[in-house]
Amino acid sequence: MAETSKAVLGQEETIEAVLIALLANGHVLIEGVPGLGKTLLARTLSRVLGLEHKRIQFTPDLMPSDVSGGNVYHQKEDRFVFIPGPVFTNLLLADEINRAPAKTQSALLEAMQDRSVSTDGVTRPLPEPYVVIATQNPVESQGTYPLPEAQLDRFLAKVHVGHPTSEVEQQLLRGYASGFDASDLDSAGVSVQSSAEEIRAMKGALSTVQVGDELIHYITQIVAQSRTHRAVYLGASPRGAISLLTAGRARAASQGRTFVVPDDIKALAPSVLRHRLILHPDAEIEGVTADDVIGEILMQTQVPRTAA
Amino acid sequence: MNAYLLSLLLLGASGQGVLENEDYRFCHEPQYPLYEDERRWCELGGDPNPRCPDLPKACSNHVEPGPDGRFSSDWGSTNGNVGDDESPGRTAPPDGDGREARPDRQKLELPSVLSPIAQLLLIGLFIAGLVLIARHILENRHDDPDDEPVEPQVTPSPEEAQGAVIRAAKETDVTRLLNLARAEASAGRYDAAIEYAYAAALRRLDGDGFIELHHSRTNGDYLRRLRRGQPNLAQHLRGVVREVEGVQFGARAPTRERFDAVLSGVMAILGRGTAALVLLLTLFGLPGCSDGAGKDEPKPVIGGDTSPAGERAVLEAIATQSPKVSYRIEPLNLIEDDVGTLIILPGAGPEDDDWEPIVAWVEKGGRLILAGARPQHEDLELFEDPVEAPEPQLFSGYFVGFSDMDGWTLKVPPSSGLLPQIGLTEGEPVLYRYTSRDYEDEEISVYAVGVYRGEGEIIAFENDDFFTNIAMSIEDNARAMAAMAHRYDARSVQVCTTWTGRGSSSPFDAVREADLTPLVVQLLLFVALLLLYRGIAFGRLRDPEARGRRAFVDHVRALGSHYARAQATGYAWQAYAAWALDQIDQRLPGQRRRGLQATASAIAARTHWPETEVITLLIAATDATQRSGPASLRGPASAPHTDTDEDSSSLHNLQRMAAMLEAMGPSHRGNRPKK
Repeated sequence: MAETSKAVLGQEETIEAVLIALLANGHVLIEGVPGLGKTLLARTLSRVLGLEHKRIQFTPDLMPSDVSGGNVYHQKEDRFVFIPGPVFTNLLLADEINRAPAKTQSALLEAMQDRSVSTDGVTRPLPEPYVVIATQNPVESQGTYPLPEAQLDRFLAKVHVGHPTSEVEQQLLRGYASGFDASDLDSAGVSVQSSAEEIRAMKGALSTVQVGDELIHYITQIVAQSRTHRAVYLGASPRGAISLLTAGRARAASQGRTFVVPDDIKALAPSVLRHRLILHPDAEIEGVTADDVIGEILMQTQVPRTAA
Repeated sequence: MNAYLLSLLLLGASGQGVLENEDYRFCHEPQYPLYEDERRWCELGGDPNPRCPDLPKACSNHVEPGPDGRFSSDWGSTNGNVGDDESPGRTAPPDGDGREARPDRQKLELPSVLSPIAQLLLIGLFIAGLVLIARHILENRHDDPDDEPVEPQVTPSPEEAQGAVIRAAKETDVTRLLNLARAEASAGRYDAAIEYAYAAALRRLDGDGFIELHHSRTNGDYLRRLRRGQPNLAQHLRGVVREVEGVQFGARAPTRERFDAVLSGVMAILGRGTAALVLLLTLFGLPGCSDGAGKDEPKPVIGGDTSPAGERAVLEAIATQSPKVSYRIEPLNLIEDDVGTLIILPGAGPEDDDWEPIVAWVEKGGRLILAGARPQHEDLELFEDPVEAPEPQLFSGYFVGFSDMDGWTLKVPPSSGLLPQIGLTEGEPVLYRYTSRDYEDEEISVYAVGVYRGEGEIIAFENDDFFTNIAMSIEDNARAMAAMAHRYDARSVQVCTTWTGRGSSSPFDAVREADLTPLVVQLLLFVALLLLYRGIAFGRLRDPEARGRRAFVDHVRALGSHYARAQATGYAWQAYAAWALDQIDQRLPGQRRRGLQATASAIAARTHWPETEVITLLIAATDATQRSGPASLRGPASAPHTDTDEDSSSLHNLQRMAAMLEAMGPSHRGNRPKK
């Protein structure tokens, strides 16, 4: 994370979410206005982690084959040859995912879920590790195709990216004034710190991270309350609970622990659950947000082994 | 000749150095602006003036006051002269004279005689602080054999161990938690011991206000909270948390070594918390310390004004001979026996009822000095009958002998209200006026006279010029002042100002004297009325009222306002058009299947609207319904148009039409039963 911060400033939460998603076999949905450095973040992370990265700009006329690739007739060989789409990479930045039609979104989301692409009866696995950083703009809604809740559920975490603070922005401007070039990460001194093999090994070791019964009870309490909260129409699914557990393990591992603590669960609950809750319309009209609901649930849920 | 006073003169050159303190700025700042009445002293001080080195320069630096009577601001600010001239009843210039404001310290140096209640409160607070410190020290002892007895080492059942953990969550006393931790460790139950020890640390941090325990907060929450305010403590706690969580949630076995490590970290946290508390108490205690602490005789607190017209130097001069000098706060109707000399400055104004006890006190050996005060009281036997004179005047008594005796030179400037020369006996020393140097001449004016009353005496001065700071800078005035007030019997000297007798003996007196009684009574009446109106519940804590759910119509209005703000009239129009067409279907069953034209004709026939308008409206509504639907089913090209006015107009027309149809009821044909 420190290495990433050489180029990306003030986005620690996003970086942590991506790293956790990477370890936990998940994907991240970033909601934020344009110009906050999402592409730079993806490029920097891929550099630091030693991964390949690609970017897809989602547009209304984007076709599923533009994402996953397709068979093209090869005249010389007189046969169809599969041309892999940009989805075949380690770290994929799906920019403004809600601008593409549902069919194209589905193509990506199926690839995210299955970690493979099937065309003409042939299934091709995606590289490992594989993480998608999808972005969407919360402001513009015209001409967009909102992601259905069922597909949102496939993202491990949803992160809100806001404008940087004044201090961070000043630091950013000073960096640019002194010659920082976003297209040249070498100038920022960003170096490779890991490799795909190491990440695979870390993911393999994730299963050894212990999760006590108290923590499983803590997670189920949180998820159960998300289903019975008065402002919630549809609460978190079992997949949400599993995601919380997996993300907690990944966070513990990323902090050098071999066991999950309640703080892991509590810290990750907002980003893991916020896109899985559907609120009652009247609650939405009253200005209640999913974050408010999760905050209230966490406030009401007793942390295991607390001294209070 | 007053032999007693003469003997006092032999006390030596006391009080001559009181003006060395730089607080007396008129003596140490050449640019100090003097008022005209203060310039009267300039001729008397001489040049150089060893007691007041910069006074001659200040005298030569003539500063003209402005049209508003203030000095020009090139010397100092034009703030109100807060500290200079607050001596009540003195011939002080008005506030805001252009002199630089005095430091607030002088404000704080009000007479510090505390009421018994305040003293009791202070002592109580001090004792409470000591008890608190002692308690903290006792709590933090590691291996005090007098600690609570260790529970017998009995191997617990799993249920008992679980119960211990639950108790750890319930117990809130740090000492007991530590004792429980040690007891559990002694019994070999290190998991519970670690939990107790950690709970003790959290409880202490909570008690010290560094964190706030809550069942929903994690160790990470506490660490982040500590890191913001107490980074050192956070570092200690982090190490403890690692060990504790490793045992609680990880696979680390609870061992003696691990418990010792946790306890060590916890004790460091507890020690730091105590140290911070002691430091806090010390810091709070420091302002209460005085440099005279520990001495047998408390140093009198001499505050007051250090301006030329102030009286602080007078008290300091007196203090060189009489350590027990102070301002008098208590009223004058009961003067204590340990008071030897009482100096009454103008403004102190004893009430008529006070003079009887004052005279009684004088007759028992007290010395009363009236600095310009001219009380009209027959018991004083010092002044002429006010009926025969425009104002009371000295008429009898001895002339106070300070002048030129034993080489002393005492001077005061002339003023308009001279005392008449009366009964001067040759050779009698007189405190003479500067203009009447030769007191043997008939033009001599007497500045002070005295009378004996019983075992005491009363000395009256014409005015209070002699009792000013600047007077103490002239010749031997300061040591004469010290000699005059000194008592060989070590009784105290008290100076009465306008604050004398203004204190209250009880809160009720204070309220009464501040004329707040009507206000307080009204407030009490208001509370009583509130009690009658709202009942006793208004003073009790009550749960906030449950927030009721909004009515459906409120939601509709809120939704409508959202649409209006978003300029999404098109969406509203689509929704309403779908509903209205559905209503039309119900009112005119089967008509829409025959086409829009047939429907429009039927509607026009029933509502008497022009058929062209009806069909236009129906086309718009049908078009709108075809544009509606979930976003995921629409292409960007079919995004709603944004002609808000047209949509609004269509919506209103459709509403009118639907209302007319509604009013006419369902079509007979539609309700006709099938054969």
